[in-house]
Formats: sequence, C-alpha cells, structure tokens
Amino acid sequence: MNAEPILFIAFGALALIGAVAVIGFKNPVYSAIALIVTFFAQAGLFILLGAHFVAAVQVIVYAGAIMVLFLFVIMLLNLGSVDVDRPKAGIAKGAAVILGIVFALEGVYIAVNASKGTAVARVKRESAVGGGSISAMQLKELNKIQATYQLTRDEIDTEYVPKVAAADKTVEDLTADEARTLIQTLQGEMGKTERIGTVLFSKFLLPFEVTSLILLAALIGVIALVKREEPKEVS
Amino acid sequence: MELPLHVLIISSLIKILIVVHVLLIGVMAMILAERKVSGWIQDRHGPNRVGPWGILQPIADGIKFFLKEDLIPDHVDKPIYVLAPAILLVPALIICAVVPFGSSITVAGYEIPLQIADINIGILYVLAITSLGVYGVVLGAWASNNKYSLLGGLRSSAQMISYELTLGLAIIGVLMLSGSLSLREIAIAQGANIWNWNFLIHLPAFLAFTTAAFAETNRLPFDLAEAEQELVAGYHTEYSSMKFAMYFMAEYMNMIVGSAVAVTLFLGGWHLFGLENLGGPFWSGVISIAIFSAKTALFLFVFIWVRWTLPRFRYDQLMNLGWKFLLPVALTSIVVTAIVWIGTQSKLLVGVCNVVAASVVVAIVASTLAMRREPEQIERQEPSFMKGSSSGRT
Repeated sequence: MNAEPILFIAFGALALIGAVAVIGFKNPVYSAIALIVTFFAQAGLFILLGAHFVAAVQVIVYAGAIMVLFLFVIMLLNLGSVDVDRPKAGIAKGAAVILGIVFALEGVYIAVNASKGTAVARVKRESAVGGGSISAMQLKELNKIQATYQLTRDEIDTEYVPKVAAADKTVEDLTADEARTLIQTLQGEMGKTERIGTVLFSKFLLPFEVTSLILLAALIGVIALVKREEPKEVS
Repeated sequence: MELPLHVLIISSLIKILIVVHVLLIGVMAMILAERKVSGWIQDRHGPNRVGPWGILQPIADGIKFFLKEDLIPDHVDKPIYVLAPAILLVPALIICAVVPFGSSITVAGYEIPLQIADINIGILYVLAITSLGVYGVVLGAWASNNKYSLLGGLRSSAQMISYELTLGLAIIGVLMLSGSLSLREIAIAQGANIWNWNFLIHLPAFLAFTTAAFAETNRLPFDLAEAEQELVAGYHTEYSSMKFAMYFMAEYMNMIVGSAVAVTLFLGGWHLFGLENLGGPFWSGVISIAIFSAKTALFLFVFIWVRWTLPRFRYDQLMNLGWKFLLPVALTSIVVTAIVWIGTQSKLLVGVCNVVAASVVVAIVASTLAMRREPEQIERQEPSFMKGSSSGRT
C-alpha cells in the first residue's frame, strides 16, 4: 500500500487551490487565509520529500509568524473588499498574455521531462538495465550524497549498508537493487535535522553567517527608520 | 521494534480515541477544578448544587451551552466567524499526537509505545502547531466586526508572537543536553531521578517557558485579550452557545497540552525514581501513565493557582516582561548551557551557571530600567497636554 501519490495529489491540489484563491478573493483577510492554506500544503509536500525540518520551519516561520503579521496589518488598516482597477492599457495586458504563455509552456516542459530527468529516475533506469552489481551511475549518485552531507565512505559502509544488505558488505559489493534502496534510504535520512545542522555549520557556514548578517542589517535599519527622535523641550 | 501494519493501525486508532476523549473529559475536570480551587482560595464553597460536591457541574454547564440559542449576529463576517473557534480548537487537539504520555505497554505480545506518533521533529511540530493557535483568536476577533473584539484580537496576536519567541528559545538548552528533537527521547534522556530532570538543570529556562506558556494560553495574569473590565469579553464578545464553548474548551485544552509538554520537557516525563519500571510489561505501562497524569495535574494546579493569585499585567508591563526579561534570560540560558556543557560535560555546573547567569542578566536589565524611569516620572508630573491647554486659555 503506497499512500504517497494520493497524499502528493491532495497536498499539491490544496496548494494550487490556495494559491489561486489568494489572488481570487476580493477581501484581503480571505486572501491571507488562502495563503496560509498554501503554506500548509507546501509543508505537507516537504514532509513527503523527507524534509521534516524544512516542513516544520515552513509552518513556524511562514504560517505561524509572517502571516500573523500580515493579518495584523490588514486588520489594523481595516481594508474592506478592494475593487482593483483592471488595467485597460494594451501593453500591460499584452505582456501578461505573453508571460502567461511562456509560463504555461515551461510548466508543460517540466511535466514532460520530470519523469526522465530526475536523479532518482536516472538511477532507477540505470539499475533496471544494469541488473547485477552496483552501476557507475549509482556510485556517482552516492558520491554526490556523500560530498553534500559530509559523510565518509566508512560511515555509509558501517551505518547504512547493513540496513539494506548483509552487514559485512561494503558499497562496492552491493547489487543494483540494494544500491537503489541504499540511495533512497540515504536521501530519506539526510532530511533529518541533525544532518541539516551538520551541513549548515560546516559546508555552508559562510553563506549561513552572511545571511544572518543581512537579517541583522535589516533589523537595525527598521529600528533606525521607526524610532523617532524624542521631541525636544520647548522652553 | 517494528509492529505489524494491522497492529500499528489498530493500536494507533485506539490511542487516538482514548487521548482525545481523555482530553475532552480533562477539560470538564479542569472547569470543575478551576471553580473548586478558586472557591477554596477565596474561602467559599464553589459549585456544590449539582451532584455530590458539585461534580456534575461541568455536565450541567455543557447542557446549558447546547441548549442556548446559537446566535450569529447580522454584522459579522459569517464564514470566518463560524470557522474561527474550530481553528483554535483543532491545533490544541492535534498537538497531543506527539506527546508521550507513558513508556510502553505490552498487550497480546506486542510492545506498544504510549504515544500516538513519535516523529523525529517532535518539539518543532509542537512549536509549529502552537504558532497556529493565534489565528483562531485573531480571525474570530476580526470576523466579529466589533471594536472591542478587534482590540482583544490585536492584543492577543502581539502577545502571542512576543512570547512564542521565549517559548522556542527556552527549549533549546534542553535540546542541547538531550541531543534530540523527539519528545520521547527528551523524556528518556532525563532518566528516573529528580536531580537529572531538566527543570533543575535549566531552572531559568523552565521559569521562562512556564511564563510564556501562561501567556500563550491567554490566562491570567496575561488575559489582556479578554480583559473584561476594558473589552467586555475581548475576542469572544460576539460569540454565544457552543461557539463560545469551543473557545472555552480550547483554552483549557491548551492548558492541558501545554502542561503535558512542559512535563515531558522539564519534569522527566513519565519517570519517577524507577517507580515506572515496577510490575511487569503491562502494569509498568499503566503506572507510567499514572505518573505522567499526576505530574500534568500538578502543573495544571499551578495554572489555576496563579490565575486566582496574581492580578492582570498592564500592556506595557506585559511587553517589558516578555522582551526585556524573559527573552534575555532564554538567550543567556542557550549561551551558558552550550559553553559550560561543551567545556565540562557536567550537568551540575550547567545548572549552577544557568542560575547565576540568569540572576546577573535580570539584575542588569532591572537596574537599567530603574535608571531610565526617572526622567519619565519627572515629565509625567506636568503632562504636555496640560501645558497646551493652560497656555491656550491664557
């Protein structure tokens, strides 16, 4: 019994409906709620991908914090239903149509290529042809995972290989089927918080710190803009 | 320990049914307990007319709610008005999915963990779902189309966002020592003995967490969102009948779930001096549930106790407490725990250093605030509008 496709369709449909509803509703509060639904559905999709940490952060940061502030502002400004003036001008409409067509074509292109383009599909195809032992493509995939997540080959051999094959085997001894399961296991395992932390504070330390500096700068900027001077005493 | 699929599904369904019903009955018990304890604190009897010692009072209350007219005022935004109480109630219910309410119980040869779902991001899930609770309050307030409701909703959202930060940061020290986000692992890491439990090791963080939990549940002394002397009833002014009851239930359910999470994180979960291991594979499970329930009940009593003891904060006091005291204390706790734990690997030292550091931070903040208050008071003796009006008249 595989529930994954059903869940994917459910969450995907919910995300799309929510996204359309955001621009469909005239009342900004309803739009904000639709956006929350979309964020939630996205979190569901992240969980299906094995990225539990990202899913939780998605809900905490976007659905839980940012959208509350959106609602806060909408409610404070007390916006009623807004009638948007639809642009009559030719240029804007023409550009919208062209961009829409380009976007739709992109979607079709991705949908057509999705089934053959992904790494998982490539590995699957490879192993279906290869049969016997682990293929070059699978080894390449494993090396990629190993490099991204700062694993050593020893760790894979001792920790993860016993989960899919006999304990005394190493990566090179695996059959193609076992290697496929191993890659799937690793990809699932790597979404875990511990691994994200390890990678974030080793391989991506500099980008991580730079991002925090940018956020700090934004924070200071906002305070500087908002904080008014104390009114000077008029004697 | 992998269970066969059919056992997993059946046991999960049973656990979900039991937990949800225990929560609902717990709400009734809490309503009675609140009224009884408040009576005791105020030296009066409390409800004693319905049933012996008034124990049927919650049922009478429930029947009253059902029989009242379900009034939907004309001026409200109907879809959101109807949806809002449910938005508050559902998060309160689904948080309990990850709370381990006991060790494990062996039934018919299968060892069943006493937790609905042990997910590896347990505590993050709790924080994520907690952060959604605010929508029920804010949307209900907005949909009521009433300025008192809206004021209550705005107060509540500002308050919940402010205290959510403390709630999240206070947990991090606990996570560092247990090395896991799973609530079950955190409970197991604390072990059986009271001196290893997190509330001693992270005393300042525990106090900050508890205070933030009070604020998150909109309870006195943080009930500015429904301050009846100022805002009629705040965000649920326009609600009646079962919709009001849902807000009421959500508040108590949040208290119960919040207490259960606090017990898991700080009070050792189902552990108590090895008592939870007595009596074989079946009875040890039952005992562990009893210990967990007793600890949660103790925590809930503190909730009620505080409500009937402390007066409400003023809004600026609330924000000062959240941002200038609790947040720095929680941040200090993270830094101190990390440094001392890496340096010494000693839980005793972590506990001592945490308390010392928190006292220093509170002292610094308090003295800074005290120094800054003086010019304000001088100004307040002659407010500017009085100056303006007097000069206008002359």
